[in-house]
Amino acid sequence: MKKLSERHRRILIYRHHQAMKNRGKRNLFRSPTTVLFGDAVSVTLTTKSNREDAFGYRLTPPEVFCFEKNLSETIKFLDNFRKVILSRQRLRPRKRDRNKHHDKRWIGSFTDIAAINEITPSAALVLAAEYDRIKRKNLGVKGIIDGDKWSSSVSGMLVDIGFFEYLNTELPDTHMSDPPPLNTKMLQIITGNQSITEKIDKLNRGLEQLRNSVIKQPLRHAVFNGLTEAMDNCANHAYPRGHQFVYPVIPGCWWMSGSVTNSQDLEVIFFDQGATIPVTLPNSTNFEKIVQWFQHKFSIPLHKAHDGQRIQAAMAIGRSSDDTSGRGNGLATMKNLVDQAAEQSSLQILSRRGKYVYTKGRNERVESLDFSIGGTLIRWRLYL
Amino acid sequence: MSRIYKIAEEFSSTPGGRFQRNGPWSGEQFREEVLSELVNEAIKTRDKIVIVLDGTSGYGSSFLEEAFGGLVRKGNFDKNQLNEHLEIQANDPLYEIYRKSANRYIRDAH
Repeated sequence: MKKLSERHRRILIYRHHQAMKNRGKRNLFRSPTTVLFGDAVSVTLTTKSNREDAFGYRLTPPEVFCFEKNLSETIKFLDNFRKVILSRQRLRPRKRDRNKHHDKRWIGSFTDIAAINEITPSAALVLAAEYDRIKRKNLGVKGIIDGDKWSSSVSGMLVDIGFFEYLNTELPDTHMSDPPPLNTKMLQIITGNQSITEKIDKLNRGLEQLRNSVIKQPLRHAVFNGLTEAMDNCANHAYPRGHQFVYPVIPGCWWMSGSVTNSQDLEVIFFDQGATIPVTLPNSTNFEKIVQWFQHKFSIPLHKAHDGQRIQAAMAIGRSSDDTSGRGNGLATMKNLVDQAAEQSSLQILSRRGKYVYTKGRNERVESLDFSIGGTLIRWRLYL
Repeated sequence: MSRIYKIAEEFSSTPGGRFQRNGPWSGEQFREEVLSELVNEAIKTRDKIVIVLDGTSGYGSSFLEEAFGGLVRKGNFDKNQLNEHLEIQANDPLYEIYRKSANRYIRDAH
């Protein structure tokens, strides 16, 4: 293998960073930071101690809040959500809105969760992680807005994952009295900022309780190993020291959960809000191998590759110099989990604006997305 | 008689990731606090240390690489010493894959 000279290596890293910067600028213009709201609307705000009328500007999520059926709309919403809610910009009511709602409390912008009719576990996890960040970074937890209008299946899933803790309150009793049977049962979110593998055991036990039956040992081990690597990757690569994050982050933080469908199939989800795989790829100690892999596989230099291709490279080569394909490669271990389950089981990784899918018995697929998911989401869909 | 060390009982039933700074029960911690000492002891007494992998919830590849491959990579031992004084054992077939991986990490380390 030809060794890169130090100068050439620096040039390639420089080009990569320039390409990343320009891409960021293009997207900033495509979706302006100031989302244009319609008129302010009046809502009911429920907090732990209080219930009151309020008004604010509505940020409307898609009806189908899902990374499978409605990926582009869902990540577009999350992109806007971060720009509006996490930017620390103080939003003031327009004069006509203030006059119209003068007797109500002003709450700024808010996410209208009542607009969601269908939500999937992975999308619920990413949304909850955003609310957790708001809470931990003191960016203004508002409470439940129009909770009475929330779809019962949506609020059911949000109760399951412990979403209301991030809102500093509980779901109104009206929804708790007669919860509907859900097609998908989800575990409460487990979070941490280190590789704490006892928590994976907890997740495995939780999944077994949801299924009312034990998970076979090889699969149980594969879940343990896959999530151990996800945690370790997060700790080693996701929040690099000195990286300039656009939004405030909780260093090292990850969120994970699992769900069981009516047909007893499993889903295991892991999310971090870090710098993402495509961005941190050049920090890899395997950089030379990655550059050559790109040249060989796509006949393009690394800086021209889209994010999906970058994730594919990370999967194939690994990011540490101790990694070699299929050996010691934490990301490759994640694929092994899929191989332990039945046909059609899949691993999906969304990282920044890239999508990578590995389905058992099929080829890998990669895709470039219009908006960033705001971190790295790893989702295993396991048919038993 | 060779010393037998059961990871699940004497170290952790949930082995962690690669580095100690990333969390408890890491491969680095196992190598530095347990494995190196056991191998040194085995070399001194011209005996063998048997590491039993069974009974844990699994092993991430980074744990195994750092713990076993790290013995050679960090320059603490050479491969011949490890061949002679370290045995990695898996009694349950489920753990056989980890045994093979650990041995391969030692073999490929440089």
